[in-house]
Amino acid sequence: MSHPDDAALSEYAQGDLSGEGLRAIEGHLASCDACRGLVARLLQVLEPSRAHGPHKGLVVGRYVVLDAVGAGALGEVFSAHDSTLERTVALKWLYPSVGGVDRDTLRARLLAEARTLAKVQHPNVVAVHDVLAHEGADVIVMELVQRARSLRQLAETRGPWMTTVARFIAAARGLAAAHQAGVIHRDFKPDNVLLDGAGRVVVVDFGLARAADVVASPTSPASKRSALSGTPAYLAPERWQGRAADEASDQFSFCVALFECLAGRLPFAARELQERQAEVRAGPPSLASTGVSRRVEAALRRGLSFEPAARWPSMGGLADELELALSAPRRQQHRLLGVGVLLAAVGLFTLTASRSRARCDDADAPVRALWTKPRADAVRVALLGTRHPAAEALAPKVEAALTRYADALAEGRTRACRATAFEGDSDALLTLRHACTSRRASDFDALVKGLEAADGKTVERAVLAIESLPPAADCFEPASLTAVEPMPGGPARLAVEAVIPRVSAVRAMRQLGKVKDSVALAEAVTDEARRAGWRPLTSDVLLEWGAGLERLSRYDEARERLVEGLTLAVAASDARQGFAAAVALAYLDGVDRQKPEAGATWVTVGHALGEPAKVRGTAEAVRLGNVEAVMAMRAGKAADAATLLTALEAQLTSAGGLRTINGARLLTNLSAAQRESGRAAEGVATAKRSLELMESLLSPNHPDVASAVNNLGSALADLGRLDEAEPYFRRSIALREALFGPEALALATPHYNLGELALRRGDGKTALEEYGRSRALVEQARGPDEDDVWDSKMGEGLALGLLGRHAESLTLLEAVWPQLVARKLPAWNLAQAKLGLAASLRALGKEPARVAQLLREVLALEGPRHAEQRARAQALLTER
Amino acid sequence: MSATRPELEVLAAKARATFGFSCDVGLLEAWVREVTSAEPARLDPGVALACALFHRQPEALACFEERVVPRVRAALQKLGAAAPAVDEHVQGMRTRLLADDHGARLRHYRGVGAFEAFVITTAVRALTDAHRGPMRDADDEALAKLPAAVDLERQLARTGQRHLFATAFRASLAALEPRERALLKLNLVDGASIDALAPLYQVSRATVARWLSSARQALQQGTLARLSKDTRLEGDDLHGLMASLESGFDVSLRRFVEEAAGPDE
Repeated sequence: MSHPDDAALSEYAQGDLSGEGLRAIEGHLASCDACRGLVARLLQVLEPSRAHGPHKGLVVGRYVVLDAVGAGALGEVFSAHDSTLERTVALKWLYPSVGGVDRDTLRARLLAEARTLAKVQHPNVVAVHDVLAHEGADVIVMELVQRARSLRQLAETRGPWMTTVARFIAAARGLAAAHQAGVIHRDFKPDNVLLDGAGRVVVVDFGLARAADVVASPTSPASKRSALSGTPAYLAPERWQGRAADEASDQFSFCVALFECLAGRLPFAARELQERQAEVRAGPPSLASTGVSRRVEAALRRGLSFEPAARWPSMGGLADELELALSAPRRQQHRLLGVGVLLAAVGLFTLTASRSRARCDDADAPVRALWTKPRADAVRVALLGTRHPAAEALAPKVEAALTRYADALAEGRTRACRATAFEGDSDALLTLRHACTSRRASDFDALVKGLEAADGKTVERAVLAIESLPPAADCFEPASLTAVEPMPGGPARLAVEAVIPRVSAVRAMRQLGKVKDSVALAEAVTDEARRAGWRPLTSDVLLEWGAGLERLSRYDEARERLVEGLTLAVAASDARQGFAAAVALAYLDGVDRQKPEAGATWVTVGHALGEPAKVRGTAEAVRLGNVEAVMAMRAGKAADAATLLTALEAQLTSAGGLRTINGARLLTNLSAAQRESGRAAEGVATAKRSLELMESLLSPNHPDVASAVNNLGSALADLGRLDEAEPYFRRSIALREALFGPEALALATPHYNLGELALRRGDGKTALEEYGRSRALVEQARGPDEDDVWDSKMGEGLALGLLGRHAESLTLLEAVWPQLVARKLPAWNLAQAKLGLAASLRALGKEPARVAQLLREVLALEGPRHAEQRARAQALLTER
Repeated sequence: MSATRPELEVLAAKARATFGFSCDVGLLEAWVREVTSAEPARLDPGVALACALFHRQPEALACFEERVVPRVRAALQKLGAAAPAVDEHVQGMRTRLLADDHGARLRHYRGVGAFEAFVITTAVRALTDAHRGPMRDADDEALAKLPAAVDLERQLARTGQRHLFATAFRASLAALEPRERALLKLNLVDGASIDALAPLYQVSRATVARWLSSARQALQQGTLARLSKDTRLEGDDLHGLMASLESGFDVSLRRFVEEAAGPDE
């Protein structure tokens, strides 16, 4: 035997050796007492070369090492602070040198797998963030699973078998995702599956296989090292024979682990190769005494088949089967549970309450991370940076609303965690609830991103956009969650999860007024969603796309998307989404396209889809009511509209949703309906409430407030309180001028209203000016061929008549007449036009028959609202 | 990997910063090429000192005396050598390193780790050799002659199978990986602490502790497995054997490993 030279021993004693050199000297020291004695002495007098190993405070790239948290076969794990993203991560430090012939190969493979795993983003797979090299050592940066307990630890306090199976299903999904990416776990066992503080199941220690896996003994690894590694208990029979690990052997290990956690013992106990093989061939012992359903047991038996080919084709297949097995017996099981079990459950509750609460403390962490102080600051700075006049008043309201929503999401996660942790809700339900809040969180995140890049338009739409986020509380309701087509498992889930934030971006853009961007993105995202293949999500983005197209007045395209969205929602049993689609279609057909029959059909579809109890008081229900009301008003049934909207108001109030923009808009419509149905005084009161609500929710100088101010003026004018009305119109003009400048289209309406006011006061000159101003603004902004232009021209015509300029009046009124008739103007306005036309014709002595006809038509109008008009018609008739 | 000129310039600069001088870059180039295949960037500047010593640069010899020799003396003293022995071994080291064969042994230093550590190793080896006589290969056969551990021995002696323990133990020891054997012996026989062992592998002490405990466990389980197979013990006897093995193993382990590794008797 040749002894290592002084240099080699000195290098070893300073920790400077690696690879082949290290293995050679270890082999020598294992048997040479003299050299080992020398090394022992050197250890007393030599300093270790450098502190190249990881230690507290060591800076590795952007990470600062904190504490050692554990060690695997090939490396140590440290917690570390990620100074860029301000989070705690785990650093897996691969030993620079590990003895054994093929360890270098193994290390190379581990690194390759880590890089692959980094691409696998799956909630049930520990996240790999990065792979770094630090002074010759390889470092894998991973998610630090917080407050974790392994399924091994959890199995010791045996819970209901269904809970165990549900957790393993989640682990199976994670394993399936890794397999799909080409990563084999190699060491699956209950110790390597963690349940974190938030109730998430995470599979860890991928690829941390032992050297024995690579240098697989051709004969019997069991006789050599079984006692040391402990893992052979989970090894598939083919691996005992030296075959490499693959998906099928992972599946076998998975089934051993699940069997163990269900039965409290391993399915196979033999330690010798021959015996073990015979045992596996004979199959696992029965689980009958454990109460586990036969279907679960059958699924396990198949996974524990001796022949790999006889097992499930994939982990995903096994997970699907377990899921089905779990959903099948559940109801039966519940029916069997008697009072005794309930009492026992209560006792358990008391015992474990404090511990379980603590366990759910972190459940809301993912949401909390989305809404932090720096982010709130960023939003505020962005809003103020727009220099929008309303920004200063709105910024705190936006922040408060975002905080409320984030709180609701966080509360939802904690509540879901607790419900499963000790109120007996299943893990499957927890997964659904978390998936739902994750989608909400994605919407929230996208909206905050939009606000962080705010412009003036964003400022105005911010409060409504936050209000329009889907309610966080929905995510707790089991019935609506379980009914919907489940998100696919396996690799398909990854695709779905990748599309979710994209859909959120589409939604946020539209909500914040970037409609064109939203529509442009929606097209691409719809394709992505189709490929991902989860219909509720495809339906979601189609509805967004349709809504965007509707806002751009591209009605035909909008309709196409909405109909497809509705179809998909119904196919996927997503009633909520289907309801939203029907509402959007009702609005599109009934209001935008003015096709009341089609609109009414969609309203019926909506009512059929939205079970009244569930949609009562929701934003969509209000929207549907609004659509119905608008259509009723168009059909001249203002009283019906008022009744409908009053009922909706009551619903919204009892659901706590009246103090919202949505609620204020409902009041606006109610006010209009009340006025239209002759209840002008109520109309004024309602308009006042709407204005007050808008002012408190938004800022005094918000555009929506300017509208509400204008509406209150109109209500007062309707009531004949012209002097009270005028200041409101003027205030509306002032607000809009400040917001949009003196040439803005938004000024057209209050100017028009001032024209009306003047006309009713008999002030033809002012009326002519105000109508003219209104018309000019519309023409300038949108061209001459616009309804609002016709309306103003009609006003100008009437004003000219008042001023005695009958020829000019007649020319104008005749010019707009066909447009007015074609447009199905409200009866009152049309009557005004008829009166004006009749008066001018009469003054010029033209077409007496037509004059008589026009006046008779006005006289035929019923109701108190037309009393004044009837009187005027009568007067014109009798003047004769 | 041969060093580039800029890499050598850097190395020389490091040496000047550390020692106040360097070997001529031309000489250093040839020296590095000859003595090491390590990555140039990771070379210790001590390699320039070795080069300068080989070429008998006066400032190198002075540096050796002022900087290296005192540390060698301190190391030998720490290991318990008396003053005359220290002088003797320092002189022996000087001769072996600088004089014999015109300083050929300087070439053994590969620039990995500190040059002083290399020199100390040479001196400590001389000290060790002097204490223990010529180096010899280990003889694990010594195990066969060892008495068995406390309870275990009694159990086995009753059935006349005492020797089986030594056999099983030796076989299990041999089945360990070289690292596990080396560490177990360094720790149990040579008394190297976990803190001293951790830097060898650039790992934390917790990891070394875990390695040791897993090696110990493997040894225990292996011995147990072999014994239960080889002995004719049955029923209560076998249970008793297992129980004693599990409870008293750590005590007996230390004794066995120590004795297995000890000098011939």
